[in-house]
Amino acid sequence: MTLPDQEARRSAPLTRSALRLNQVTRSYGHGNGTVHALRSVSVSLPAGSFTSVMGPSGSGKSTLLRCAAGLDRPTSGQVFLGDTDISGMRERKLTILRRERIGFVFQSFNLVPSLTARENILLPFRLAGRRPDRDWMRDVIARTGLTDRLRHRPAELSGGQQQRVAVARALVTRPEVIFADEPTGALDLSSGQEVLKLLREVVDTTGQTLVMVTHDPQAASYADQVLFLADGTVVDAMDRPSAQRVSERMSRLGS
Amino acid sequence: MLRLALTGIRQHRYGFIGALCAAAMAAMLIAACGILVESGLRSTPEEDRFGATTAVVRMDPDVVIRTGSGQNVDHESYPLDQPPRLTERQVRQVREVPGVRRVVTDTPFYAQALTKDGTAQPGPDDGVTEGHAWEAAALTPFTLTSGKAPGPDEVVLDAGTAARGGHRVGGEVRVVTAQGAAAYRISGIAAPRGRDGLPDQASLFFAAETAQRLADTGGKAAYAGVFAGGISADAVERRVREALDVPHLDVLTGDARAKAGAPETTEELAATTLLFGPMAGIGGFLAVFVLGGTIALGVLQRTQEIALLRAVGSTSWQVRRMVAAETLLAAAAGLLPGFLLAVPLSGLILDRLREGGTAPDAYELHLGPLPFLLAAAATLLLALVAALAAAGRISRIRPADALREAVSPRRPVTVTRVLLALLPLGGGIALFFATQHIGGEVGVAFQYLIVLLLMGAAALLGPLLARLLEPPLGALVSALGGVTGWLAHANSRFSVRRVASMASALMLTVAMACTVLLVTGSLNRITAEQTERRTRADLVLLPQDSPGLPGDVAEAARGLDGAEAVAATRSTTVISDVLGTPDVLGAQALDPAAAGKVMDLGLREGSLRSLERDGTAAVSRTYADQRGFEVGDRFRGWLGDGTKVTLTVGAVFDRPLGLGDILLSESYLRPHLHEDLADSVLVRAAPGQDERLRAAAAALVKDHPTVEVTGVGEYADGLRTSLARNTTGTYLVLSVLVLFTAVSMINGLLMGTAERAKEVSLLRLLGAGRRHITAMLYLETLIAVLIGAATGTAIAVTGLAGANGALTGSTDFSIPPLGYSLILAGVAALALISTALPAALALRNRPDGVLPSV
Repeated sequence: MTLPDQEARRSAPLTRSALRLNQVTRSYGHGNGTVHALRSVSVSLPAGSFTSVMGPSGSGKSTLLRCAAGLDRPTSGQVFLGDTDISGMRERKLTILRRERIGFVFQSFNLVPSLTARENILLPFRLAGRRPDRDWMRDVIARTGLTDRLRHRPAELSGGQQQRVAVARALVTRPEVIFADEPTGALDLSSGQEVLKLLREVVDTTGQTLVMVTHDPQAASYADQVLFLADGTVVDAMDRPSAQRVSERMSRLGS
Repeated sequence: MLRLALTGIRQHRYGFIGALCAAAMAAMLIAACGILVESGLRSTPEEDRFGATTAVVRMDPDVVIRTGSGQNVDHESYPLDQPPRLTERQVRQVREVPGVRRVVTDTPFYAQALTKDGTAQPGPDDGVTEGHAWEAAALTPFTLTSGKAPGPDEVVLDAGTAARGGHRVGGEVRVVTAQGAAAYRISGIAAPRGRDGLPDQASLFFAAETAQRLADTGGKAAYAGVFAGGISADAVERRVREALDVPHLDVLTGDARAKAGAPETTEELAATTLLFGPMAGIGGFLAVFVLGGTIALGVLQRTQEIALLRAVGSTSWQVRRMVAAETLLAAAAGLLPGFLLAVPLSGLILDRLREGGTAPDAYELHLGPLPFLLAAAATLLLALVAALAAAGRISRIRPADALREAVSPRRPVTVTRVLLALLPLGGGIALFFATQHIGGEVGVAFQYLIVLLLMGAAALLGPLLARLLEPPLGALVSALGGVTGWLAHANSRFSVRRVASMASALMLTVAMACTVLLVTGSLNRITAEQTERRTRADLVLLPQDSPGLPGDVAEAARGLDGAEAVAATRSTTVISDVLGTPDVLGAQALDPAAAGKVMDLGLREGSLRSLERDGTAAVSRTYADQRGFEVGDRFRGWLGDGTKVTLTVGAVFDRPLGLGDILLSESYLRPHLHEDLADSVLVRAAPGQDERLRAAAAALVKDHPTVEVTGVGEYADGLRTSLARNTTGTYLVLSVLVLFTAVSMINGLLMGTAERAKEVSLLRLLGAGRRHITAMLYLETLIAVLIGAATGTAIAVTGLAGANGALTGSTDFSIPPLGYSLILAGVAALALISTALPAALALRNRPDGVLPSV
């Protein structure tokens, strides 16, 4: 099913960027001990795209994600979510921004343990004090295959099911960008592939923009584009990646 | 194992600090109580009225009664209302003891000087004001600072009394005694060396014959002060005992002699000292709860780590030893701060009590090593007990738990716990019904035990109660609190154990506060209501700033214009069996004919006139029910002066509160009472003569300056049953409870916060604002408050209904809305304030806490 605004996003896929980083630098510490986690990174991700960010440990993947998602403030440069410059926003506005325009899926601890799957999915709406779109919600739940798991608490769900709940929650608010941080890192191979297929399908059918940090070439191969990070800068990009090409590229980066 | 424990401590600061705080608190309380008990025991009245003597001889002011039978014979002492006195012959025998140089007798009696402007002058610090024969001045010694010894119709005042009343040598002073008010010329002013008078008592000295007449002693003496000539106090004691050969004789030396010189102060000292034993006990009891709860939460929080240790091959016994070692380390580390706080705390408590008038000024702080040693031992023992109790949980952690992401909540209550809880629960319920059968003030006294039993049961069943009560109360909060209420409800439902540990602490405080405050209030109200229903008087004359009304007040009242009937009440005691062993019962001396006209006692059987026969008593229905008495039955008892008598039941009456369980005729009791001082004089107006009576009574005050004219309402409000009298102790216990509740709450919440750091981060990441998090934590506390308040109130209401049932036969009760709301507001405030620190710490969890660190 396609909704009007998604229609719009798909009809002009490359003219409008969902997320844009402009000369973003992030350093920690002062003087000689300064660590440059990101060095003047500029990236533009088109709406409806699925991008993987790869790189060896310490390459700045996580910092990139934090800055892009408004969890960390760049030392210099700007981050645009759609047309909004979020790099200088105050805590309160960022909170509302996260609630309404960004979705998250992490490696683990995605769900509030005391809430059922359904309650976890609805949580962003409850926090925002808004009513969910019933049809869209039913669609998301069906898509993620959770229809008969809604009344279970996280402890009663398998790892794969938990990740699917997290994906559903990220989707249900129709955010401009979903950030996924090693979403398959804690899963076994088949559950991991199931989740990745789900993400791919979501991007294809709903035009959702997705950014995924991973170190697994297999996972990265599901994306439209892979960005390779090393030493705080984007050293390479690869369109329509395959697992083998990604791992070759990665081994040259020395991971 | 110790190294593992030390490493563990570094990893789990919150848990360790929590245990340390709880232990410090326990050490502080137990040490403070110990210091106060030791100080109380070592304190003596400041100035020794018998300071000049070698020893003081008196009769034992307690009656010793043989109780039990066969193998279990025991001797118990009971305090007497009218301590027996030495006969003239006994005093002569003391005089004849070899080595005794001189014997001076002293029989203090009520004597109160009026100030220059005619008002009654109470003793210093609201102490007693007493008359003595001038010879007794030598016991202290008091010496004349000006003037000369008193002749007939003359008096010597102590310097303090003279100064406060504006009196001078040569002037005239009106003095009220049991014989009424009379004027005396001030022949001199006397003082002990270096001060104005005795602390806490005013002393008036009269010529020997005058004192004899005013005290109406019949030649007997309360005290005989012995001045020895060259023999030691011990020798005096031995020789006096040999010479007199009376079974219950006191020969007092040293501190005991000083205490006998100020009986009121001594009694206050003993009563105050007694407060601290239970306080230490309750402190210890609560310490086990808090320590146990803290350790248990710590274990829960470390489930994964412990499971990992088990998985790599540690036996569950090794893990227990590790937890016990950590706990003991925390307790030992808590001792020093606890002790450092104990000294100022005990000083603070003592200051409060002295300011409030509960403790006499003579109560001074004495520091010795014993309280600290005891507190150290007790604290470590309590910590060990708590650790062992928590260790049970460790054996239930399986190695497989290490592999799980989130440990699903276990069954909240184990079977053992339920079985353990059934004991106090069953005991409490059984006792409740028993007290309804026993009735009376004894039945009321048992309610406190019932409440304690139910509190124990509720604490054990805490998780179960939380599970039962959370759904409705949480739903309420959820309905009122929006999304944060909804989250709080979900979290509370999910973490029953955490909620239960907070709710238990709050339950203890609510139950205790409601019981002591509401039951006391309810008893006072019932007493006042019953007194109002009983008293058929239009006016009540009460003593003002004095211990009682002289005998001539009732007489004067009889002569008042418009008075139809007048009766005086005079309280005393009768010792008789209560539940099989002797106990002190409140009794009243009345003129039966007159009393019948001003009181409606609610007679069930017999008549008041029967009291005119000597040895016939009216007994309260509750007491009669308990003993199974009917009119004509006989029972043994001891009168206020220790005389053993057999009394006959002449009447059974319904309304004893504020009066006493046993009524006897005034003429029968007269020889057994030292002084003729009435508690109140009830006056009933002739029909239509109210106004005239009131006017006449107002004039009566001129001749009788210690009289206050009031109505029945005020009289009724002023009466207290002995059960409701002492509130200081309950306030002390309450403050201990509040302290523990706060610590327990903060401990639980802090550890919960540490445990939930990721959850908070996640919520923040999903768009929960700071306000959401804060509101959620406060609302979670609110749910615990509601659960605790509901259980606590239920327990207190049981006690309240039981107390009312025991007193009146009907378990109807009413909760004073103001008092109750104040308690709830106080507890809620305490809980919410305790949440402030954990809530502030929770907000330090940044939204990106869920992500792997950079």
